[in-house]
Amino acid sequence: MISEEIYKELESIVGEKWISNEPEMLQGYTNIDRGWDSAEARMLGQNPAVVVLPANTEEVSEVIKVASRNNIGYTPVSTYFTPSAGATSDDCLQVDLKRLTTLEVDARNQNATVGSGIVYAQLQAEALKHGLYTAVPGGGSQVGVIPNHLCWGFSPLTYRVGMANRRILGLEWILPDGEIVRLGSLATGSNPFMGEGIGPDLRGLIRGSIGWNGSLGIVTKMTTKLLPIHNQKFNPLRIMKYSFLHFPEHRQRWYNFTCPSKSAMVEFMLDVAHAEIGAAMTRVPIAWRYLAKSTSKEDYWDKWAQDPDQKRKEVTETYILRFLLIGYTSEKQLEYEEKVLMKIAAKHKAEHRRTRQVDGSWMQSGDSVTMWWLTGAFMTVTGLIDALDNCIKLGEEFAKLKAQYTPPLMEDYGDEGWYQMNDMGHSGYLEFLNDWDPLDSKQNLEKKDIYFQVAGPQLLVDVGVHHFFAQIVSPLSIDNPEFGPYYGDFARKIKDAFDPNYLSNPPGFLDSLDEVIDGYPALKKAKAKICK
Amino acid sequence: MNLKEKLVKIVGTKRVIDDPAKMVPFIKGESLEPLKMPNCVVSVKDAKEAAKVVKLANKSITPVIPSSSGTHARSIIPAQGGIILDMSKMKTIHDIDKRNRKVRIEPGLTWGELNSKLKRHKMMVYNPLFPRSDSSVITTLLEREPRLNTRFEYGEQILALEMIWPTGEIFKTGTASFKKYPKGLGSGDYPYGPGPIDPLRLLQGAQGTMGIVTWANVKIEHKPKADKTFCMPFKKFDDMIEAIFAIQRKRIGFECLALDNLNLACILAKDMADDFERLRKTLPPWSLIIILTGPQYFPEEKIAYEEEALHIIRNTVFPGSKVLDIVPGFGSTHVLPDILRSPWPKKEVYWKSRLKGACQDLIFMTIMDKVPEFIAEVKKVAGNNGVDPDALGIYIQPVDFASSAHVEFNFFYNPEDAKEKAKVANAYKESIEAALKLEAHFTRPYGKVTSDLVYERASSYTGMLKKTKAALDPNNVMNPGALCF
Ligand SMILES: Cc1cc2nc3c(=O)[nH]c(=O)nc-3n(C[C@H](O)[C@H](O)[C@H](O)COP(=O)(O)OP(=O)(O)OC[C@H]3O[C@@H](n4cnc5c(N)ncnc54)[C@H](O)[C@@H]3O)c2cc1C
Repeated sequence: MISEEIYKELESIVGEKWISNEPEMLQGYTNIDRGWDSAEARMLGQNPAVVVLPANTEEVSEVIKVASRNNIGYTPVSTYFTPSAGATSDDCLQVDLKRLTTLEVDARNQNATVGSGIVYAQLQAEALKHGLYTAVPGGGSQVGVIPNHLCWGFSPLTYRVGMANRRILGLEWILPDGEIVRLGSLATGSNPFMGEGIGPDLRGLIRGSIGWNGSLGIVTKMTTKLLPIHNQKFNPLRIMKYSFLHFPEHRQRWYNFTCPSKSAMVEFMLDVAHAEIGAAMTRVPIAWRYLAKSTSKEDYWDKWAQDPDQKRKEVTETYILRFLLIGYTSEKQLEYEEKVLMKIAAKHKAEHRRTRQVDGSWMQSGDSVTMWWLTGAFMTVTGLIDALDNCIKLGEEFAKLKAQYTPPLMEDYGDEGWYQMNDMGHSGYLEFLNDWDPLDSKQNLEKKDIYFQVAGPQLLVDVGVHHFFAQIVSPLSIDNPEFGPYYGDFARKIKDAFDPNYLSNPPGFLDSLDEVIDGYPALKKAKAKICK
Repeated sequence: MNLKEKLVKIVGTKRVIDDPAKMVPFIKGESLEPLKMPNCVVSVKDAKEAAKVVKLANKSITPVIPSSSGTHARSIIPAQGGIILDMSKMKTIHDIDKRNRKVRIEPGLTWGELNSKLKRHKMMVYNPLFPRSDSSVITTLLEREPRLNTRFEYGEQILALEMIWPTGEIFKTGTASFKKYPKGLGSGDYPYGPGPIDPLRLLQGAQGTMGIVTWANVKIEHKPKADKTFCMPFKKFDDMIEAIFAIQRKRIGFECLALDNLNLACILAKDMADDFERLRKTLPPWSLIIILTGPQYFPEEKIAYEEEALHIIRNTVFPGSKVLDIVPGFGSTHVLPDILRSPWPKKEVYWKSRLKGACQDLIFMTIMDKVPEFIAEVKKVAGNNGVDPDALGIYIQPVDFASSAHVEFNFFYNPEDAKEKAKVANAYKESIEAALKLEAHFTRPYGKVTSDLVYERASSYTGMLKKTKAALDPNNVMNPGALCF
């Protein structure tokens, strides 16, 4: 219970204007029917009891100390694109970090320091001014830079800019008890240029394959690595409804190809990686194909409906690869890479297609609302970063599983997901995408939940691969003797050491998942049936 | 049963050594600190044996110090005695996966061994400056010795691995974390996790205090089809900074490093007695060496556009220097790629020992613009301690497109000369203090002198490190005393 006295104490830290327990305010932070249709949010989601908006690291630290002293659970939120940023426990203190708006680019040392209120659109705009760039995540440029680095950080650009784990440099972290700790070169100095620790690297506590989703304190400031790109301008093309950046075509271009088969597509991607060229390469799933031609969601469904089933099936089975080449060094680099790309394309009999030299998704602007919200609800059931061949096989397995759950999942004609190259070709990447209608019947939504929380995670056990999404949706991953083994146990050791009262975003995914499955008869029954 | 008997039960009599004379080769390297003896050396052949030893160590509260290399650049100092867990016989290459450009290797595999194996496949692991031929590839990478290849994309060379936690559980990380790995759909190309913590990060730079790696997937790359190497002479390091930034920001070249003439002469001299002094005098005070590489397709064309860009930068950014295809006093640069991509030849005295027999390295990270301040300060401190400032070797390695710099001062000394050793020890200690004042970032605090000074300044980080260690190694058995615990 957040008493009057505690409320006053918090108010004295952030000021009257930046704290509230007014029902209307709290409703704005609700985790109930937020547009998310996850079982976890549906079962555990709440309104917070109090919302505070601290202004800086020190205020966050003071707020957390008060919470810690009084045994109050708290949930950090940056831009609230995920339900884990909302209250999932009683009497929760919502710590809204949007006032932390530091944004400083150190162009010479190729990094930027951001507060938790900064989103990718802002960071990328500043970076590009200095001939530097980062990867805007697939989730869109409207998401927070810090939570994305802490939890996710995937995009076709990770082929060249590496995964977010590697881009985290010095940072300020409020531990679950409110103490401030500084990692990387900030441990002994004032310049955040480096993330490696003195000896062991404590960034290893802050995120692994995914992050803690707010369950191990709050990062208030982070320095992230930026990578050199050319210093040519991206010109905004139209504004408002269709907002694109026009590429400086002599330095940066898209190349789309139709591949004669899936195997040709795979070999094409690998050959390009082995040739050590390119800035990104990704397969284009069916939904994105229609999206690319649509001017609105309505237009999307019109176009979709115009095509008969057979045509949509054909679209799915056409393998389109999209490459991004960048002349980082000079125009001549782009010419060279284009020559190599065309040679490899010819080898695989891939046909070069026309494409517009504009971008609305990956470089700076985000189109997550259209890209992911076609039906009003979206979720990735699996994400794998590993050998491209494994990503392809896993996509095939999931397509088979999905068929059993379609409908209620949106029909996509056996589409095998979004896959791309990653980490300079040392790995591939798969996300298996799913859309459904959040207003569907209870029975259908239960079926969809079984797919996410039980059948999908069990498939991963059956085919023998650990991947990053399952760990936050299902205890079948975290507490499984097959993975790690029991990798959740080691994370719990850290949680117990730093947050013994489990106050940071309670109950936290290490424990909430059991609660969700056990408290949901349909899932419990499915688990008993599906899991060996 | 005493400890030795229990160890013998795990690995057999022959693989437990407790004769001090026989243990010396397992710990002795170059160090200004006195040698300390372990209780015994236990050689293991696989992860299962190693895990049993760690479990036993937890029961008997005995320190375990993992060791993988055939030789030790720095001595292994078992601060509190205990068991040296020798993994130098674990040399298996499980898999060379050319398709996904990785190799799965055990910790005893050395640079010399891996290099010669990969050569046959026309592949390589991007290496730091002259790893010793018989030092472990895995430990070199775990310690984050900086690559000569400055490109960010070629970093994070360790992928998924198998490890033993300090409490003795065998564990696999990343996408190798499936019980029946390598069966299943994960082949270990993703290093992070599993879960919200990252064992890889905790193991890096840990000097064996956080667990033991029993195999790791390591990135391999194609050997370039063609190379063109340039040497750019400079009078002072300060003059070189803009050149480094401009070249790196344009992503020109793969390997790039800066050496002063003392270090470069130690590396390139054919014969120290006859050739060294002449070479040192002929070499420019500073050399910036860069290798342009051509990959599988049209290699010469890639080199050509990079070379053109390099010349434009030279004309605009550093017109006072030259872009040479020779190293003055040495000859053509075309031999350098082979030299720089190999470990130091086994049969030759290590380059840092060529001048005086031994060397103490002062190493830390900083930003490029601060390097001149460090050079001035360390030279001053050396002089104040009776060490000739001009007898310090200096090596600057731009890291990740020069977004940071590895700085290395080499204090050469005669290990038989107690007076010189004492002077160097003082100069070294004072240099650390001076460097810390200038905000040097010591990511690899080797030895007690360094780690004490560094951790003292990082109180909150140190506190957190100790708490983490206590959570994962409650009995403090993994190499106690090496760092801040
Ligand atoms: C449909 C969809 C598609 C997506 N696709 C991609 C993709 O392709 N690639 C990709 O990288 N990501 C993707 N994401 C993730 C997305 O980009 C965001 O990173 C993620 O949703 C976090 O959103 P946010 O920034 O709004 O943070 P929030 O939702 O505010 O927070 C996310 C979590 O982090 C915690 N948190 C917030 N701030 C802090 C802090 N300062 N310190 C500690 N914990 C904190 C919160 O409690 C919460 O648990 C996708 C997300 C969605 C919903």
